[in-house]
Amino acid sequence: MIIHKLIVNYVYVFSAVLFCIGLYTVIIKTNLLKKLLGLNIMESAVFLFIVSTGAVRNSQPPILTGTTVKNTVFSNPLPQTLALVGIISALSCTVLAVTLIINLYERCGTVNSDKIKLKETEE
Amino acid sequence: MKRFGVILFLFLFWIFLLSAIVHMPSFGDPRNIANNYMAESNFAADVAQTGNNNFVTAFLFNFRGYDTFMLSVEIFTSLICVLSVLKREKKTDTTRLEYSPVIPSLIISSIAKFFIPLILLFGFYMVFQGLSSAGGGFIGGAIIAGGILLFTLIFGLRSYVNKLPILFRQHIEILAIIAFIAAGSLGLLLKANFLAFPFSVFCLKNQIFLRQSITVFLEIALGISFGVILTSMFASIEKLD
Repeated sequence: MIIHKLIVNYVYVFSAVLFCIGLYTVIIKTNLLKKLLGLNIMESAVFLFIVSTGAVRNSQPPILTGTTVKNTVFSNPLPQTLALVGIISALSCTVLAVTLIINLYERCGTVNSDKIKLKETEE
Repeated sequence: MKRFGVILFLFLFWIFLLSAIVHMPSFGDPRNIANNYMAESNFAADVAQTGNNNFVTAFLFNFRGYDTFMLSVEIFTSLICVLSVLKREKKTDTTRLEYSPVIPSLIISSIAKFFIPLILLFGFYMVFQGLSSAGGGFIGGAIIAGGILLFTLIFGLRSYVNKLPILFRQHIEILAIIAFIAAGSLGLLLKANFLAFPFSVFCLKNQIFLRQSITVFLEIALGISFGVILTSMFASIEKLD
């Protein structure tokens, strides 16, 4: 029963896998840019999850065409809108983080988080 | 050892997530929590009233107008943050790629010359397409930015600054916010409501056309300014001091 449920919900399972991959990258990698990439992977996992909750079986994409009949079942456009807003916000945050990392590199000469900590303790 | 511990922790975390997934409604179920009553109710009629065929555009520019306005403000704010830390590029600035011993070959530059106009055309097509089908300002803007970024990477930052001077870009970057404020103030003047549809009071004919034209106006402004903002961010990050 549980296995069947997991197989049916394969998109959620894979978004959980993607989230864990991103979290692994954030924890393990010492390069700040790689940490940022991991954060982006986690964001993608969340967007995948949000968009896939709006899916409806045997539904049409939420676009009206000339041939749309009356009681057509559309997939839910609200999660798609939410994910679009989230993607733009994520992009803004990513650009800002890259900027700060570049600034850090100019000041410390490294983007390795361990070495930056060492420098702090030396000073 | 640390790596093993992290993997174990993440595996347990994954199991924890799976235990939640088991209790969720199955994928594609109309009774899913995100589709509470919206999927059953026929909101195609509401969307058709706004004159948009694409539901997502209808939500972004009609039902969530404030949200999209603030989204354009957010992108502009992030541009301001980037520029305040890294400064704008100058005409004499170069990128690390231009110092690279591997120069772009004839094949790459001629293929790019062939494809960049097509990419830009596709981007503008996407911007205009948002009203009737899949597409929209943000996606079109991202594609336009992609075309310009390809140009910058191959022909260098200097030719990019020559083609799109800072004086020109300064005006385009603010375009989305200006367009939103203009459309919103029109509603404020005629109907006493910011970002409300302004022409419903006196002009009863051609309602759908007017709604569509306002949406297209906002869409074009958003698309072009989003594309240019992305390229400005890229140029500011990419330059060498």
